[in-house]
Amino acid sequence: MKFENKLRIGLPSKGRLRKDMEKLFLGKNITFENLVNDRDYIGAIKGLKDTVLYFLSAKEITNRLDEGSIHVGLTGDDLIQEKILNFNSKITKDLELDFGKADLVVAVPDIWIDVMTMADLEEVSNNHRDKYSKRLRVATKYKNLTNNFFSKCGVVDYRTVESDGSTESAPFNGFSEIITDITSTGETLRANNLRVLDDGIILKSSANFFSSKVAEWDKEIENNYKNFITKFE
Amino acid sequence: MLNRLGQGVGYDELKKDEIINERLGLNVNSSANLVDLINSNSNSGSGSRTVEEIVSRFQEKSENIVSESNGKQMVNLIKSFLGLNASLDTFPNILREFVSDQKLDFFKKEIDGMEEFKNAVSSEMDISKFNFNNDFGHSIEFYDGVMFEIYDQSGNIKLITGGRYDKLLNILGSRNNLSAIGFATNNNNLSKIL
Repeated sequence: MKFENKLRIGLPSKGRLRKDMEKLFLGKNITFENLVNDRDYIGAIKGLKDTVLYFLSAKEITNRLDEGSIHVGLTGDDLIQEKILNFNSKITKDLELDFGKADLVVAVPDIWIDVMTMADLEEVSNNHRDKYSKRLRVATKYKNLTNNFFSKCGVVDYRTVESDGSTESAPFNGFSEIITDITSTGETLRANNLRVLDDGIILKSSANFFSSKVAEWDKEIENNYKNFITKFE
Repeated sequence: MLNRLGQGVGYDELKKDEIINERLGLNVNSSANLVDLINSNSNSGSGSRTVEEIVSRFQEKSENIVSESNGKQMVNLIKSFLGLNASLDTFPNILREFVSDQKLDFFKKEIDGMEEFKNAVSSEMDISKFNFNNDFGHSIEFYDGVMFEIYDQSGNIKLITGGRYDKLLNILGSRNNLSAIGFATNNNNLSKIL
């Protein structure tokens, strides 16, 4: 099987995103077929020639778009903007989808009754540093987006603590004072006694079809892509 | 910070009750002992901030209420203060004028100190070339006092940047206080003029 000169599309391989994606494809009467019988990671779409599907994690799709080894990928704004430096010059958002909706937010312990806005946070982080000679710790999986947002809001006396899972438990466990995390309903945050700041929305994210400007495109691939994407409009 | 001040700061007792109600789900009067209440009703962590600290800042907010119009006035005052920019020989007088124009009764000691500094330096060199700018700072955050830049005769080539960083050692973990002043030289620019 040769994959050169084919349109390469990355689709989510697991989780909610995969289920929502399957529902979307089903609704548009698009059927997958396997290219190689014993492997579920590679597929094709019935009726679309020269198109290869790769089933990958959303993170991996983001990496491959960044590198240009796939032309198109289905993933979230959050990952694209966090993981890809200068994403605007490398990636185009082609079609916003109606799932994978989530906000990246700043949340503080709910007993911080004196903190409601980012401006409060600026003041508190300042006091914290004066008092303890330590910076306020922010646990997050989204270091870059957090840094950009905090500096836009004028908050400087903090440091990020990288967290790869159950970030929402970090303040309770004493690993950090506050967090930034992705949330769709806010339930997990509430269950962990955290509250989103009034102006603490860093990013409103959803699932999208993105295309990579770094990938090698030619006329034929562009045509195949047009055939693919118009099925969803 | 200035934006927020311009919109008014703080809240009255009624709003305070509302906040406690909403944020903590407790139906209490704000005159209650909040520290005890929070300690006995919440199982969330507060990071390294103590409950006392949180409550005291919260109470402060209702004691120092700044209305929107007062807030705007304050912002204008701060902005015009930051706008002061003149050479050192005239700066103490400019500050005095500012203080009396605005009917402020602070900064007297600071202005006297500046006058003293001016007199001390002027006996040694021409201070008309010392420019003092209230709205001046480096983007490096460890400075916490006066910051300065030194240029060549033409005023175009920056040779030295520096300032006070009295708290730097504490930030790095020292238990002793040690005031410090320091600067960095731009060697490329220095070699241009030497």
